[in-house]
Amino acid sequence: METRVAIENPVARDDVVLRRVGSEWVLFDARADRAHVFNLTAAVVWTYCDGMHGAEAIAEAIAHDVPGAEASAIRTDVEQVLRRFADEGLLQ
Amino acid sequence: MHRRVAVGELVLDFATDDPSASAALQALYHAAPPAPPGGGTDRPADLHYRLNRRPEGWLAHSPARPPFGPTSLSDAWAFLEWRATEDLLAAPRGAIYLHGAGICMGGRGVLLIGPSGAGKSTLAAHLAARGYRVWGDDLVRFAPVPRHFSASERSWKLDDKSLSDIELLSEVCAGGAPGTFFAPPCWYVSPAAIRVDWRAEPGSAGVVVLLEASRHAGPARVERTSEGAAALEVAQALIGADRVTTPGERANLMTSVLEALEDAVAFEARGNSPRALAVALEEALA
Repeated sequence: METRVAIENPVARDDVVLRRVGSEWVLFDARADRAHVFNLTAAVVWTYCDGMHGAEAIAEAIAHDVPGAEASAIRTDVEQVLRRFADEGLLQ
Repeated sequence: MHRRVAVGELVLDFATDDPSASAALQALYHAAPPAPPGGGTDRPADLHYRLNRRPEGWLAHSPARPPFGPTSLSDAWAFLEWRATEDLLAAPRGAIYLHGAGICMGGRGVLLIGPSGAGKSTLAAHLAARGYRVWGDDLVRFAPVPRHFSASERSWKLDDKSLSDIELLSEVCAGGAPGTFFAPPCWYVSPAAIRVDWRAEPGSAGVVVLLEASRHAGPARVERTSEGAAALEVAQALIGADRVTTPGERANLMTSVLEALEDAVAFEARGNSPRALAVALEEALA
C-alpha cells in the first residue's frame, strides 16, 4: 500500500545523487551504498519526482517536451520506472 | 645510503647499509620525484624502509611490521615494494587510487579496468610501447576535488608473459636500465625507465575499457558497452574509498567519480593477443 501511494505521488529522496555518464544516467544511493544505471527517460522521470506529479502528469510533461511522443504511449514506461524507483527504495 | 621520494602527499625514505644494494634502492619507486625540502629544512619522511645486509642474507624493514628475512635481495626488495605500496594505499591522509591502468590516447584518458590477471598491465605496456603517455599500469591516482585522474609512480610489475611480445620493454629490462629490477618471477619496470616523458597529464577519463581474463580468447575485439555499468566498475575499483564513511562523503566521492566520467564511452575488450588488442583499441578510438 505504501509503495502504491509513493508511485502515485512520488518524491525523490534528496540524498540520492543523479549524474550522467556518457549516454546513461546513474542514481547513487549513499545511504544504501548502491548505484543504479538508468536511461535518459528514467532520468527525466526522476526529475519529476517532486511530489507534485503523478505518473500521468509525468507522462504528459515528457510528451510535451518530446516531439511526436504520445502521453498515453509512454504512461506505461513511466509507471514501470516509478515502480523500479520504489522497489529500489529511492523514493521518500 | 638514503633515498627520499615524494609519492602523492607522502614522503618515503628508503635506506640501505650496503652500497651493493644502491641499484636496488634506486629502483624502489624509481619514477617518484625527490622529496622536496619544506620550509628550508628537509621535511621528515612519513614512511621509512630499510634494506640491510646480514651474513645470513638480506633483511627488509618496514613500518609497523616485523623484519622480513634473512632472504635474497630480490625477495627483500619485492617485500619492501609491496609494503610501501600497501602503506601508501592505507595512509590516513593518502590519496585515493584506482586499481586499474590509465593511458592517454589521442588526448583522451583511457582507463583499463578489470580484476588481477585480466591483462591491464600487459595491454598498458603495449600501449606505452606504442608511444602513449600513461597514468599507471595497475594504480592510478584519483583526486576527488578536481575530479581528475593522474599518474602513479609505482613501477610496472611485468611477468615473462607480458614482456615476451614487447620489444621495447624487453630491451629496457635486458639492458638493466636504471629503475628496473628483476624479482623473480617479475620485472619491476619504472615508467621513467621506459621513457623520460612517460607521465600523462591529469584529466578526466573519456574512455573506460573493461577487461576480463576469461574473455581473452579468439581474435581481438573491442565492443561498446554500457557507460553506466562501466562507471560502477570504476567506482568499485577505488582504493582508499573505505576511509570515506559517512553517506554524505560517499555521495561526494561517487559524484566526483561520475563527473570525472561524464563524457566517457565504454568498451569491452577481448582477444588472445595483447598486441592485437592494442591495435584494435587504437582503431576503436580513432
